[in-house]
Amino acid sequence: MSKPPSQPVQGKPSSAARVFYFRTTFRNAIYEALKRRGWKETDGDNWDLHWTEREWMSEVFDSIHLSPTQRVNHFRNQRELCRKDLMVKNLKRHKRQLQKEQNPEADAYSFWPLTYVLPGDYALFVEEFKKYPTSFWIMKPVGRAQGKGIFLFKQLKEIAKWKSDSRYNAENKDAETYVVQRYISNPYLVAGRKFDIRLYALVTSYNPLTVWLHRSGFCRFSSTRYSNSATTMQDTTMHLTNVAIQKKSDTYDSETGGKWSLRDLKLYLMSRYGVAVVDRLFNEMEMTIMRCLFSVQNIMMNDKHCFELYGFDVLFDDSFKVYVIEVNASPSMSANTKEDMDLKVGLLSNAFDIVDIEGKMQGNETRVGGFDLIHKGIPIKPNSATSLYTTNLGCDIPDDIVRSSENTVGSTTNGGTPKEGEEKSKSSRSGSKAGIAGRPAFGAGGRSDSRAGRKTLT
Amino acid sequence: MDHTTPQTPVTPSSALLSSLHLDPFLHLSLLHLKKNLIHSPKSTPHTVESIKSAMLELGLTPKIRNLAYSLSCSEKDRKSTPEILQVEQARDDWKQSIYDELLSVCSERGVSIIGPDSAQNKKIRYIFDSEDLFDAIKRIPCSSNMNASLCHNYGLIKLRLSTPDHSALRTKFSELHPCNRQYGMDETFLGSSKFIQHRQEVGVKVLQESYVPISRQYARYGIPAGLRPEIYRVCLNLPRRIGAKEGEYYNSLREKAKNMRYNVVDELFEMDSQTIISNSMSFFPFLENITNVVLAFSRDSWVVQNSTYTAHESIKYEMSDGSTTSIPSSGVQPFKGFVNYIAPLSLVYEDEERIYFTFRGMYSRLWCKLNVISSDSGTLIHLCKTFEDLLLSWDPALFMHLLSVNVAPLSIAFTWIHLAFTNVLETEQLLLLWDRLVGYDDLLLLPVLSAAIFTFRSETLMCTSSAQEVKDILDNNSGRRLKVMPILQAALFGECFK
Repeated sequence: MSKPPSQPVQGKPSSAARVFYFRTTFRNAIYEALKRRGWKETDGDNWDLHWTEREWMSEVFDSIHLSPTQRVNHFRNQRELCRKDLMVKNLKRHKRQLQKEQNPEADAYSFWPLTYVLPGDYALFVEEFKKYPTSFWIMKPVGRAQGKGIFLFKQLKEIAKWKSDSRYNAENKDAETYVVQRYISNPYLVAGRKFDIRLYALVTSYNPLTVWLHRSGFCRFSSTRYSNSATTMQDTTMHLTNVAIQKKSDTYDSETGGKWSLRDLKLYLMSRYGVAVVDRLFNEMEMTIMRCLFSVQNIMMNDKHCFELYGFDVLFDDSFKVYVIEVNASPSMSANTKEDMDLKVGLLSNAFDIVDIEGKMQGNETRVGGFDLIHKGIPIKPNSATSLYTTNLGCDIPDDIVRSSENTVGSTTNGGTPKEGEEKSKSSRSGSKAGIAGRPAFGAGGRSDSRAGRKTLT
Repeated sequence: MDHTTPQTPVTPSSALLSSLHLDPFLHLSLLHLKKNLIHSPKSTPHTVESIKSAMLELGLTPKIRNLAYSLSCSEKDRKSTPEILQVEQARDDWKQSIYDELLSVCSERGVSIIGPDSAQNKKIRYIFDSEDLFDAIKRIPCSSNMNASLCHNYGLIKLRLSTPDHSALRTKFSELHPCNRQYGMDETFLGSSKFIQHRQEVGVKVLQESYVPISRQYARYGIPAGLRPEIYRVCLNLPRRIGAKEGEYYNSLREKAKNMRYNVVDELFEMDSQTIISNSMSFFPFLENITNVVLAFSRDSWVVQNSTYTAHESIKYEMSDGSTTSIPSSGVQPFKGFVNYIAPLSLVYEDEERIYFTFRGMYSRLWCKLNVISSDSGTLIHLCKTFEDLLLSWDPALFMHLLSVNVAPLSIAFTWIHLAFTNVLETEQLLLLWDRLVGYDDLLLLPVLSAAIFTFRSETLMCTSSAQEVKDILDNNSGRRLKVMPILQAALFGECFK
């Protein structure tokens, strides 16, 4: 059932043989993942999926009519979550609301560092600043990414220059907005180095709030050993872990990119602290992500055409307290190593499976590839009778076995009897044929026609 | 322990007694015990029970028990048959060639092995690597008093060594049978939380006992990540927690490394670390730690005194004061890939000292066997032959097919065995494999897993028509997705679960 290129998609696709179209200006893992699904690119309006930039959303989205099956990868007002100042505003507002209702959950809303928006809150900030004479503070422009314009300071006179610059005058309507945050000076260190963690959450609806969390993610390390001393405060390679900054460092190694997979972190932590501590930590990371989403749930403009793949940047300190640094609506899908590319293409392929323009999902799945459904109106947790963990974050992503080339549910990785060992190795013998000849299988539904990897609600 | 010198017969008790004097900790503790018992306030006669409880209090019991156990094991290890002439020759040649290479690199640089390095030219190259070792082994001919046609001529190893057959392996590795729940397999299934909890509880009890054979038995079923640091130590006959003495000892080694540098040797170790660790996805944060560990290792004469085999020759250097020193003190020369043996431990242990002692223990019991040229069972040549014999018996069609496309299976499996799969498996899987190596105190699973991987990939390999295709299928990157236990179980116990 092919359709002429100039007409928009009508009705629900009835067979897998239909051609799907995508439109995007990105040429990295996004492009790769879509091509591998067998989708075709289009410049026109006949797309089924438009992977857009945020500017397109604010400029064009409102003015066009979309068919029921068309999808775009942003929500209209995603900046409520993703702009640093608005995120903090929403978090504070939600916390106050919970406190008014005397909901004990309010206490859990302490996962962002003390933050003020400048220039507006400057006076408030100074009052607070004086209470913490030994703290460092970090200044971040809200509108910029990749670590640009960020700097650290300890004394007010260090930002005097910034303040006196006419561009940042509070009266100036075009003044660039900054957030100033109390810097987390005791991050958890591995081998003496600071790192933050990028996690991926896919939201397919804010009403009901439907959230899928990817089990994997990565840790971005700084290339120099961490130090709290004042002389090194301006050393951005020590304190800022963005890859764009790290790339400038002398010790940056382009082969590894200074990144660890979440599983490496988990193995490292488990050897030192045991399962319970690590599970609590990872669960806290999952809960923190959910709390961010709860705070914007009611103000996000929900739209059935919209979904969004967020990149959450989190950090934890040496007492395992989790902080959210920021949320990205357009997390980078470029890759600097092969492993990185594989992770991102796999992640995107799973995301496209979930968004399900092709109409293959049954609707009762709780895991698709590496994504677990963690919220759908209500929280969804791993079954406590069968799982040792309270979150699947950091857990192994089972290899999905393709039973046949037709669209059937394929996962056989769960089963308790000892003989499964034989079956597993036997069927993985034949199942891994497709991914063989040295090319690692994506393991999580990288093939366009597979429905592998569906764990269903029981 | 050099196997070429004849051993005077030792009785277990005299060995125990002499060891008790040699081990400073034990010696002191026994003195302390004696003092306590003689000068105890109660003047009751000393019963066996009171002595026992005094020993327990001092922490002597596990130490003595483990010492007695390791002595009884080493009785068994002692080899009585002389080495095969060709092998002995090859070993001497190999040691000599390393020695010569090292000296020639020194002279290329214009430096002596110790002393100020004023060389302008900083160029350096590895003295040897896995390939060189492989070549040295391949060259060993069949024993001359054998009829040439009787020699096995499908594999690369010409020596007629007897290797364990399938049923012997099934018996030896019976703990790995699928009817036994284990890590690497059962903890991933639904409903596994009870198993994990049980395993954890048993592990804690095992650690309280701190008895070597029990810890090893426990390790054979795979170790939960949280218990691995201590279980490995006990299996290697170390106290489960590191003590101040060990810390001091390690620091003294670091000092030695700083104060007196080995010119080419240190640089080679550092280069190995730099190249391999900085490029490793998992270990790059630990570059500094691993480098420190390898340099400290090279200063440790304990290694040469306590390793089951001495793999290389040290250079004897006469110092200005007339004394001679061995370079390196450990007797282990640097080669490309050596740090691979250390790296995985950086995800297991918190700090350098801990990494150091476990690595040293593993080297002296296990890795030295992978680097020595010997016909002894359990060492590299024997393991290679086991691999070839196994693959030939499990899948002769595959073996022949590979030969027909000019690929000797051992040429691919050699580095897997030599480097204990460190450059192939994902870290968690690697550690699950090492759990078994430590638990069985034996490297036999290395050729077994190698042959199992070949048979696992058999269908695809049979479709290849060139050596390059074979290499692509079996290249190290594709190993990242391998799960060790299912493959081992399928190979050892597959088909009918006999």
